[in-house]
Amino acid sequence: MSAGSTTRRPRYGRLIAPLVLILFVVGWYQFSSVYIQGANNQLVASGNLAVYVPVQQVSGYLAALLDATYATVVIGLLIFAYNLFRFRRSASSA
Amino acid sequence: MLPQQVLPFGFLFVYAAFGVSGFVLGWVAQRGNYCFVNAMSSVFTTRSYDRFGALLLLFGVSALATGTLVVLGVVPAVDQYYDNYFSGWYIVVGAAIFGFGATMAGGCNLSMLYRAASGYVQNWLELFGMMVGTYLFAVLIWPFQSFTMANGILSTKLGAYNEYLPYDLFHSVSTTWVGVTAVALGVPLVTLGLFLQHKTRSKRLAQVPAFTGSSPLLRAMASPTGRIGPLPQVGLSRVRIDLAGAKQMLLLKKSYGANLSTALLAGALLLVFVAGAGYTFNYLVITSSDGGRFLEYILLPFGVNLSLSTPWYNDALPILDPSVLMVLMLIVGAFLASYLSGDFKVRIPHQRKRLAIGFSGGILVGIGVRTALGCNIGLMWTNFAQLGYDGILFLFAMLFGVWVAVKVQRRLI
Repeated sequence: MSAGSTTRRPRYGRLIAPLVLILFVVGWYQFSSVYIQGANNQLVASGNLAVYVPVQQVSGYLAALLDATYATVVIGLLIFAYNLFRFRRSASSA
Repeated sequence: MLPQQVLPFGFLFVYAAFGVSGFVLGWVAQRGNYCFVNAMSSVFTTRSYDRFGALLLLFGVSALATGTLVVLGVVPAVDQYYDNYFSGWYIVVGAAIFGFGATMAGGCNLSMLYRAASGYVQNWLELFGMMVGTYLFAVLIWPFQSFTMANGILSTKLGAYNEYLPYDLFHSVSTTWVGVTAVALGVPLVTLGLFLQHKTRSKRLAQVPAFTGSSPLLRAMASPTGRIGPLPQVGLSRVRIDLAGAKQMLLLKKSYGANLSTALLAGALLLVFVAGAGYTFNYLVITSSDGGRFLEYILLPFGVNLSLSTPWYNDALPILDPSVLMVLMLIVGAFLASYLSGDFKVRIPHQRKRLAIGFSGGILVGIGVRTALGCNIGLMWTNFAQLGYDGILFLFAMLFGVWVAVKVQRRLI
């Protein structure tokens, strides 16, 4: 990183953006596991099999989504930690 | 024919492949500023065919690559036509509405998503308008449209291999005729795409000295429209510049060129074609269904389940499919690409009327894509890879819609 970039005014939006991303993916996973599964079960109960999705597919979706969520959380935390380090440096030099 | 799973690892693997493909789509489209609508509108506004040529390359390469996989026996032919739906008036009408609405709103289905993830508020409103448009389509248009489809009124009625060009042209789905069809469809598209790009670049090269002299620095600059990358260099200096350019791209300091983006996007499509073989068949790169699903999902916590009672939602839209994860990861990929490259910024247009235009354009996008049974990604691009003919209908109708929108924009904005 150049010296110029460390003396720039800290940007709070840039710092919290990875946390917003983490909240988004974690929220999506929670939403999927609760509401999408629930809505799918409702379709079975009401006998509407035209748009019902087999259980194996829902399980596959949730398992893949969980992996994607973990990956995104790790990446988001790494970016946040890096930005926090830069943020503290620029705040102390300002 | 029984489904043959090329990679028998189960649905976890299939969904993961769609997720990876979505991430690549979002990342590459953001870094390459890839937009179907911009590519088409630039044909009518600046007479530039560079991006449109890249689109034709994308379609041609996709058709040739999927056809080659079938010919080599890697993927069975059934995976190219199994889920083919009907064709009819609705594709032409829907594509024209979509082309018009997307041009007014400022983004096709792909660019709407990656720009929304990059902070463009106009595209947030376009996405919201698309949800509203999808609902309007479901209650107002779908009952009539499904009636015409069921009764064959200006519509085919059979789907599957009946919508497959090798069968339509040669009454065969053997690998020989699939190969012949892939070459007959793909090679002219690739040739035309390269020709149009060469024509545009030659024209630009001829114009450059008149404005900038022959300074290498100025020759390497992007055009004021931002649609064309650095001009071709020659000799050893070009190799040096290309290596430097590749490094700049890896460091996210330089955008991807149109053709590099095209190659990467085609790779993302091939990934799901192979991974989904025997599972999701020719259900490849899909983004517009989730414009409808998002509204359905938003309403679920409020106790409203559209798939129980509302037309289209209750008979045509599965509550979940691999495109959900694809679109989610597309958003994540586009956000990370824009954030890490420093492009991310919440952008509110200075002209407030652009917000209203974005929203109303989004409504038209929602109505158009649902009427056409898919968008520029899920119906046009994917259908070229399926060796169908709906993509060709969609292409010309969308071009018409874009042309009308360009005319209207010149008067309004």
